Amino acid sequence: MSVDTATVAKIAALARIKLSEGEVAAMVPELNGILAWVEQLGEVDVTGVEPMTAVIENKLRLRDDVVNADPLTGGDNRDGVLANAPAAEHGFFGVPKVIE
Amino acid sequence: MTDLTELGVAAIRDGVAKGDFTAVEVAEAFNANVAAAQKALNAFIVATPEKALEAAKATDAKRAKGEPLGKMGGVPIGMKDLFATKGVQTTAASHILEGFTPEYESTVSQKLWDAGAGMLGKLNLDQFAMGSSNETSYFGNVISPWRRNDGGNAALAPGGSSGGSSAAVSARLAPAATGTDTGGSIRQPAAFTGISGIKPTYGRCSRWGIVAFASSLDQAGPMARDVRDCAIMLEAMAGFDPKDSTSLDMPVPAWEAGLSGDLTGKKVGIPREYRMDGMDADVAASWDAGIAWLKDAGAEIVDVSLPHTKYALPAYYIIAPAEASSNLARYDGVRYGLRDLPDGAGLQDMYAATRAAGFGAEVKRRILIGTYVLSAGFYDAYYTQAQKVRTLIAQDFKNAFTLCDLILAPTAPTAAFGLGEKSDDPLSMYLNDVFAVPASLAGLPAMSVPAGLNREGLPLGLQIVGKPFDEQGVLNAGLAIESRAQFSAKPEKWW
Amino acid sequence: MVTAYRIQGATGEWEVVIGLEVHAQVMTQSKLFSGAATAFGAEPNTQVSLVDAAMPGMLPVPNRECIRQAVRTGLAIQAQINKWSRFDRKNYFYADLPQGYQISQLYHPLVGEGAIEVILDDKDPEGSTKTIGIERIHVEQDAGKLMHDQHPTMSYVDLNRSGVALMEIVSRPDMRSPAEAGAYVAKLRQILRYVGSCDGNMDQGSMRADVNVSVRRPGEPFGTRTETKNVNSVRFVMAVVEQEARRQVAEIEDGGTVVQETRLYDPDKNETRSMRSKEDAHDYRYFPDPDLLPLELDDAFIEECRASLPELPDAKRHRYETALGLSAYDAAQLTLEVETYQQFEEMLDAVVKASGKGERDLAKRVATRSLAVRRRKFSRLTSPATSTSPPRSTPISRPATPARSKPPLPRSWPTTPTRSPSTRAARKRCSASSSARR
Repeated sequence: MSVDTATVAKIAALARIKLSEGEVAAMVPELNGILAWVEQLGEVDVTGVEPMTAVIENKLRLRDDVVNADPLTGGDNRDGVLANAPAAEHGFFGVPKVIE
Repeated sequence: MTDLTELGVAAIRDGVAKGDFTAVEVAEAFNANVAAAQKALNAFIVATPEKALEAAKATDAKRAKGEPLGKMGGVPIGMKDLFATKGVQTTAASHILEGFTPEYESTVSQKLWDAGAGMLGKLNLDQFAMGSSNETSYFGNVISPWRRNDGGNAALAPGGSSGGSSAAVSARLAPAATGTDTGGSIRQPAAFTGISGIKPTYGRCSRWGIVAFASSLDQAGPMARDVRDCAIMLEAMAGFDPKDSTSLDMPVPAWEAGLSGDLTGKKVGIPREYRMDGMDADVAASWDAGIAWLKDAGAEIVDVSLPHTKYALPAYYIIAPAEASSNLARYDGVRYGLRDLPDGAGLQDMYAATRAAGFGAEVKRRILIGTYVLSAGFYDAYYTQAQKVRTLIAQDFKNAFTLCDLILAPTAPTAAFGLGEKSDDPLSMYLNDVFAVPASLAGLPAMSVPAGLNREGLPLGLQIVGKPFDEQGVLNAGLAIESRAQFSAKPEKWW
Repeated sequence: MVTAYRIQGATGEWEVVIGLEVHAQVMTQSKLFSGAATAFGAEPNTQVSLVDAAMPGMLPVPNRECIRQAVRTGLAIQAQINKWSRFDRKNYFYADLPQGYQISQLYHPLVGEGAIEVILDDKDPEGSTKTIGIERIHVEQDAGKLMHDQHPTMSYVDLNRSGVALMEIVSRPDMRSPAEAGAYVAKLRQILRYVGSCDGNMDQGSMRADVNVSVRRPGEPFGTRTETKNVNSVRFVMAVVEQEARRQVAEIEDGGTVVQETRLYDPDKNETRSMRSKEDAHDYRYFPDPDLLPLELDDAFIEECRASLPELPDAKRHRYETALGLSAYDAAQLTLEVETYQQFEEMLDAVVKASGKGERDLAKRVATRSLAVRRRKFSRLTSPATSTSPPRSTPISRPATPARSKPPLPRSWPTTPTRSPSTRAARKRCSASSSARR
C-alpha cells in the first residue's frame, strides 16, 4: 500500500499536525519508502500465532480503592496540576472557545 | 593528585567512603568538565552544578556523622532529559516541552538521588528518544568526543538516542549517566563511544516519570565506563514500582556482589542470522575476538538460529511509531508546554499549530507512520501483523535459550558515522539498530561493552543478550569480555 | 398484552428499533487509573492527579474495585464474565481528554452477553415482560468537563471527572418503543442500585445513555441509525426515541435518507439536532494499551463477586409474591427502590419479632404502610426512575447499612432489636451506659 498527498494530508489532520502543501509533498516519498520496507512483514507466515500482549510474563496488578494513597498519583494537587499550564484561570485550564 | 574525573562510579563511591577525597571535590571536578565541554560537545541541555554540589554536601555530611552513604554515595551523574526531574526543566529534547518544569520526580531518578547520587545536569538526546545519532534534538546535535584517526576533525555521531549520555561519559563529563533504550538507545551510543551500557529486562526499571516513546519497549538503564559501574548503578535504578503496571514485582539482585568473569559451564550462542552479507570487516573481527574471549573465560560456544531476525526492524518500525503516535497525543498545548494559538484559531487549529511548531521532523514522521498503521482498514495488516511477528521473534530467543544461556553479537553494524551522513535517509539510519532491536522486541536484558577500536580508531561494541531476569549472566559475560579486551582507549581531548 | 408501537407516517406504518449504550459511573472512592477522588461537586481541578492530567511519563494502574463492581454487575444480569480481557486506547483529540486517548475496552471487554427482563405494564408485571439482550459491559475512563460560559473567548477545562470509572453497558437493538427503552433504563438503574455498582443519579450524570434509533417498515431489515449522546433521564430517553423516530420517518417520507451521525437532545425544545460533524471522528485508531497488561481474573475473584451480590429485583419481587403472598403490583412497587424494600423488610422483621406471628401473616399490612410512606415520599415525582437518591458515598447494596431516611416506626409496633449487628452494638452501648449510671 502506498500513500498519496491526499492520504498524507488526511493522516496529518488525524494526528493534528499542521503541514504545508510542500511538507505534505515531501513526506509522501518518505512515508512510501518506509511503508514499502515494513511491508516485507507480509511475507511472514503467522498462521496460528497470537499477537504479542506482554513481552515479559507478568500479571496485571489491581490497586486498592483508596483516595490519595500515594500523593504522587493522588488529587488535591491543583497547583501542581496547573503549574505548567499556558493559560490557567480561576483554577481551570483555558482553551480557545469550543462550540459544541 | 589524581584527576577525579578519570574515576568511575565504584572508585568514587569507595574513595569518598574511605575519605580519599570528598564528594564535593568530585562534584566540583565534574562540574568544571561539564562547563568546559558544553560549547564543543553540547552534551547537556541544562547543567545543574548546584544540584551536584548539594548532593555531594549531603554525602559528605553523612560521612561526617558516620551514616551509610548509599550505593551511589558521592557519585555525580548525568540524567538523560527524558526523566522528569522536579523543579528542573524536562524537555525530551523537544521544543514542545521547552520550559516544562515537572512537579514530580521520576521513580528512577528519585532512586538514584536516594542512593546518594547527585545531578550534574539534564543530558541531550534525540527528540523524544527518536533517533540513532542525536541529530533530532531541538537543542542541537551532540558531538561525539571521538574523532577518526585520519587527522581530520569530522564531527561524529555519539549514537542515539542517549547521545548526550554516551558523549558525557566517554568525555569524562560524568562518571555515569542514565539512558533509556527503546530499540538500542543505550547500547548503540555506548558502542559508538567506547563505554558500557545495559538495558535490563523490560519491567526492571520503573517507567513512571520517564517521557514515553513506545511503552512496550521503553526501558531505563545505566551507561558507565565499565561493567562494575553499570552493575552498581543498575542496582540503584531497578526495583518494583506500584505506579507502573508493567513493573516487575521481584527483588533486585546484588549484581555487583555477583560479578564474576568465570563463565565455566555457560553456553554462549552465536546467532547465524546476524552474520550478514557485506558485514563490516572490523565489526566481524571484533565479534570473532569476543567469541575467543568468552571461550577463554570458560564458556562453550554454540551456533544458534534466530530465524526472524530480518523482520525485527520492520516490526519495530510499526510498533514503536504506533505507540508513539498515541503516547505523544498529550502534547497539545492545553496543560503544559508550548501553545501556538494563531489569531482566531479554534481548539483543533491550536492543536495542529502547536504540534506542527513543537515537534521536529523525525518525530512528525514517526507520528504520521504510527497514525497511518493504526488507522481504519490498515490496523490488522500492519499493527496486528507486526505484533504477531514480534511473538515469533520472542519465540526465536526462547528457542535459542534452550541451547544456550547467553547470546553474543555485535552491538551495531558499524562504528560511529559522521553527523549528517545518514540524516537525509531515514531508512539507512533505522538500519543502524538492526542488531539492537530484536532484544528490545523480546524485552530481554542486553548490554554493550567496548571490544576495541576499528581501523579508523573508533570504538566498537559487543552485545550480550540474556534470558529474562538474567542481568547477572549478561553482566558477567560483559566482565569476561572487558577483562580480556583491555579497552583503555579514550577520546583525545580536543574540546 | 402490550400492543406494538407504530409510527403512523404519511406512507404507512413504521417500526422503531432502539439500542442503548448506558454509561454508568462505577461507585468507587478513587478513579479507574489514579488515586484521585471521585466525589461529585468538588472545586475545579482539585480531584485531578498528575496521571489524570496526562503529565509526561504518567502511567495507569487499575483500581480493583472498578473491576469488581463491573463483574458484579455482569453477574447480576447473568452475563458471561471474561476471565481474560484487556484495555484499549481510543485515540482522539479533545480538550476534555488530556491523554489524547480514552482507555476503554473494544476488542476484549470484561463482560460479555447477558440479558435483563423489563416489565412493560406495572399492573401486569408477570404478563408484560420482555427480555432485552445485553451485548457487553466494558470499563472505561470518563472525560473531563468543558465550561463555555465563563469567558468571552475561552472555554474552561475541569478535569475532576477525567479518569473516573464508567461501565458502558451496551444493549442489543432489542427495543421497539419509547416505553420499552424507558423501562429498560429504569430496570437497569434498579439493578445497578441493588448491586451497588452505580448510584444511578442521572441528574448528576452518574448514568447517561447514548440512544441509537432507526426506523423500518415492520419486518424489513434495520434502517440507518443515529446516535443521540448523553441523554440523562428516563423521560428524555423516551422523548429522544419518539422525536428521533418521527424525524427519521419524516426525512424518509420526504424522499431523503437518514444520515448515520451523532446527535444531541435539546430538552427545552424537545428535539434532537446534529452535532458539529467531525470528518475523522470515526477513526479512533483503537489498539491495546501498552501501559497495561491483559486483565486476568481467577475463579476466586469471580466467586467473591458472586457471593457478595444481594437478592436481585426479580428474585425479590418473586419472593414477595410467593413467600409473602403479596400482590404482583405491591411486590413490584415495593422492590422498585432499594430504600423502599429495605424499609419494608426492616419493618416486617421488627413486627414479626414483636408479635411472634409469621411473615406471611403480617406482610400485607406492612406492605400497605411501606407503600403509603413511599407514595408520600415520591409524590412530587412523575417517574420512580427519576427519584432522588442517597448520597454517592452510601453503599446501597450492603445490608448492614441503614437506609438514609428511615421513617419512624408506627407506635403500635414496639421496637424490638433486629439481628442486624449495628443495632446489636447500639444496644450493647446502651446497656453499658445504663449500668454505669447505676
